[in-house]
Amino acid sequence: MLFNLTYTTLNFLFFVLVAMLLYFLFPVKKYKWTVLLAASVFFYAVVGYKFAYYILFTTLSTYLIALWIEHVSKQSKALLKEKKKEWDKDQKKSYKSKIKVQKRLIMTLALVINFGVLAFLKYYNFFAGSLNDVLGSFGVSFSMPTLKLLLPIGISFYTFQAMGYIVDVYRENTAAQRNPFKLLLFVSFFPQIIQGPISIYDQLANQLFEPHAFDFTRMKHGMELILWGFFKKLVIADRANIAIEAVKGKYGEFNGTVLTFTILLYAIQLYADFSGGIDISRGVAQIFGIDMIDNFKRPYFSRSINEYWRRWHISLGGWLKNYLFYPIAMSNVFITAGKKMKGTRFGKTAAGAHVSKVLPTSVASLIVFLVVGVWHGADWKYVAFGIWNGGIIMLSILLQPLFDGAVDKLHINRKNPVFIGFQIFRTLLVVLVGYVFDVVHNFGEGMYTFGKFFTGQNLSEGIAQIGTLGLLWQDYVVIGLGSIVLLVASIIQERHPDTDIRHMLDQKTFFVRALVLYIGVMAVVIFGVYGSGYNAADFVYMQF
Amino acid sequence: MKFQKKVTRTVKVSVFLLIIMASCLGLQQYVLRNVDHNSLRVEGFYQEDSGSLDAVFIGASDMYTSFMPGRAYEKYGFTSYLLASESITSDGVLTAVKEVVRTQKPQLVVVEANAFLYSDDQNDQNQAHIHKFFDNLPFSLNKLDYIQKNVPVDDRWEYIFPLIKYHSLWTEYPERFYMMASDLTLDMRGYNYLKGFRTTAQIYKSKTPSLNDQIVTEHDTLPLDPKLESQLRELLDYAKENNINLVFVRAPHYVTKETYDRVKRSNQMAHIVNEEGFSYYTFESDARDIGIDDQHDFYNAEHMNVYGALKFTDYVAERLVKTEDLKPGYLTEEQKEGWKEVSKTTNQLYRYCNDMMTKGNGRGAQEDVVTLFMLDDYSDAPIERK
Repeated sequence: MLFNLTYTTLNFLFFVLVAMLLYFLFPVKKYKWTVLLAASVFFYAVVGYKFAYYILFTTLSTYLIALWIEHVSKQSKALLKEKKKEWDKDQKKSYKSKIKVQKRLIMTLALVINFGVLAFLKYYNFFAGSLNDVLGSFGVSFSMPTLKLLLPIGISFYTFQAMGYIVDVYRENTAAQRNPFKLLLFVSFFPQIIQGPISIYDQLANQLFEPHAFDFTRMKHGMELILWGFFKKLVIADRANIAIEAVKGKYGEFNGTVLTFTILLYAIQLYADFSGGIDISRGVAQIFGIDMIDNFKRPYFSRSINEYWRRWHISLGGWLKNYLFYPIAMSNVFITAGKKMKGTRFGKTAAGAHVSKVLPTSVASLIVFLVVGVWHGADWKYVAFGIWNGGIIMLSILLQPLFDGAVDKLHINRKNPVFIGFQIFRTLLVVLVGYVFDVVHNFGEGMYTFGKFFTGQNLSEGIAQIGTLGLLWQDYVVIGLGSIVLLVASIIQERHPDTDIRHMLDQKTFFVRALVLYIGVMAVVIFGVYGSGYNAADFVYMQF
Repeated sequence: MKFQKKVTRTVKVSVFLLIIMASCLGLQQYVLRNVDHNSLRVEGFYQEDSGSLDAVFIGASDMYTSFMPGRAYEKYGFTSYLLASESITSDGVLTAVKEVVRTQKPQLVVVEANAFLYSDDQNDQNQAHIHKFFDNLPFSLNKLDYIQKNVPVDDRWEYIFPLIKYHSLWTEYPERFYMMASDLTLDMRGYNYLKGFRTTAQIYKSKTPSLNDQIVTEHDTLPLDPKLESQLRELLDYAKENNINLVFVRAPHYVTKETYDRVKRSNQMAHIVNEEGFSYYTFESDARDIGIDDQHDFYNAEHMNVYGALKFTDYVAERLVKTEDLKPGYLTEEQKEGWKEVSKTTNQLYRYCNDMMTKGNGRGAQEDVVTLFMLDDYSDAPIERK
């Protein structure tokens, strides 16, 4: 980084202010988007200038291949039109199928090139290390060298976004962008480059290219969202991070109570950090008149793990659903396998009928979550994270009739708050188990932690150890109160899903609005963790 | 109607932003601020009426523990202030001189040499020492110039808005209340009683023998650290360009083997300063002439206590009056009354420290509410030296 331009710095706020002034004062409406492009290029040049050629390569390859796919598509359509009368039905079908294969090959080329770069940078050392371990265990002396590879900022996010665009062009859901600079803006838009959300081309691109006039309400709402993001990130997440890092630094020295406390704290920290960062991104975009998709819908209120993943990191979930889950679940292999099972003796039983029906979905879920796990990082702990989540989802799909039957037999009212509470608690437990793999350094440490949960509990010793984690009692009070504010806001939002708190605040008197905002600003100023006294934590999802 | 709505909205937003800014500035100035004796001293300097100081003394703790402006006024009639800060850096000295030029027109600017005598430039990079001085300077082009030249880009906001650095001090309340009260009362009063003087009521007893007799005949030199020498030359050039009557002094220390090299570097500094046409007073070598008693007049090896400071003040003031033609400038009646109060408070402080040292209660004594409250019990009559 040339200088610190992360989202929670004054530098960033100053940068946004300048970009905002330039954007709204830019005289030529048609080219207002060039201000956003210039700002995005500047931002990336500052935060990731050493690796700028990666993002340029992705943009250029995506640009050319999208045009190529569209060219093939248009040419084939023109030929089909020309030969409409000459060719019979079979000839047309055969030609269409040939073109489909050709387009798929071109698309695959884009995916292989760009995911190849990502995979090489992210996973090469993991595979080399694993292979060396395996070869070593067989007594083979050959070893693949490990390389010093650094991940360019935001590579996962912009690669996924660019490849989503390629698939959309392939599927003819969107037209290929003819202006490479506009595509560069879509790939590198500065509020989302660090940690998403991963936007769909049709949803974001036109908003980027359209000129937006200054709108006071949008700016106010954008700033309120930024403030809320700052509160979550600086007051809660970065404070909790100090204790979490202290535990991670000396993992073996803490008992089960501390490790349990750390996982609970991590649940708060991760949500506050990631959703706070996304709020800042969305708030900044909103000031420019651009609505980015929300990445969270109160995930900790989910009643099943399936629902949790629909509410957590929505844009990644959406991407995977569109571009991975459906292609797998709807593939001939899976559908045929389901049908074959239906024809067997087992398939004719009630359970078998259900299993054969949901088999494609459940196996596709497992594969998707394996990808989610590996997307988080190149380590066996992330593989375990994926298998845990995917496995639970797979089981829940397969055993759904069993659960439903049990609930009916026990005469449980599904709307009963106690039952809902039980479901939320159960889901949270599953999520927390998955978080263990996030916090620990490796798979072995994860297993050690599970062991400690059951064998290392000692409350009084744990409380004493918690006091040594680098936080004062006042800090724990701030985390507690901050979490309560977060919980209350979430409950309000959960009860009013059709609106948001900012619009609700608009209905209040000026004094009430000003008071709430004043308290928010002062809370961030006084209780935020920032400045040289602290090592400001990067956003957790920045590393992915 | 639409226009009226826009005006109302603009007024509301402006008022809201002003309240936020005022709250942040209030927090930065009084509540979430690292107030210590350095803050009170530097802040007090800017409360002095423009052009009311005859001399300004700049330096590190060697300066603010050695010279008593109240005593100098009482005996010689000239007004002075100690624009000094703990372990001030060479950049700090240069900025302080520039600030003196900007805010006062003193006959004399006196710089204590300590900042230039380190064996390396580590002190100049010590963030704590840098912040202790610069955090307390009001915003000015001189401060901005220092920030631009010396502070890494990522840390600059902290110098412009110290609240960024100190906002987490809320965890240190209620212990910080008395320093906050000292800061508030200083602002309400509008002037500093001790003009920057600070001391510790303690007598230094050391088994390591002092080499203060030996340094009288020491003429050897050691080179200054290149960066510090370059800073010194920049200061001398600045003084020449701006026609500043700048003199350098070296205050007495309890010199030992460990600190002997500083004496040699001081000799080298004296050469450089003299060559450039400025005066350098090696009062360190004059300790015996001043009457400094090694077993009685220090509170540690680096600093004199009030006994030493009283002797040093008398000696230095007399020398400056005689050799630098330092004369009392014009003061209004109100200003004179103020300075009389300064002298009386200084006398009380001396007696308070004397009492503490007699009783063996070693403690710091400075411009804070607790110390000032204690002084009420002591006489403010002039101190007669035996």
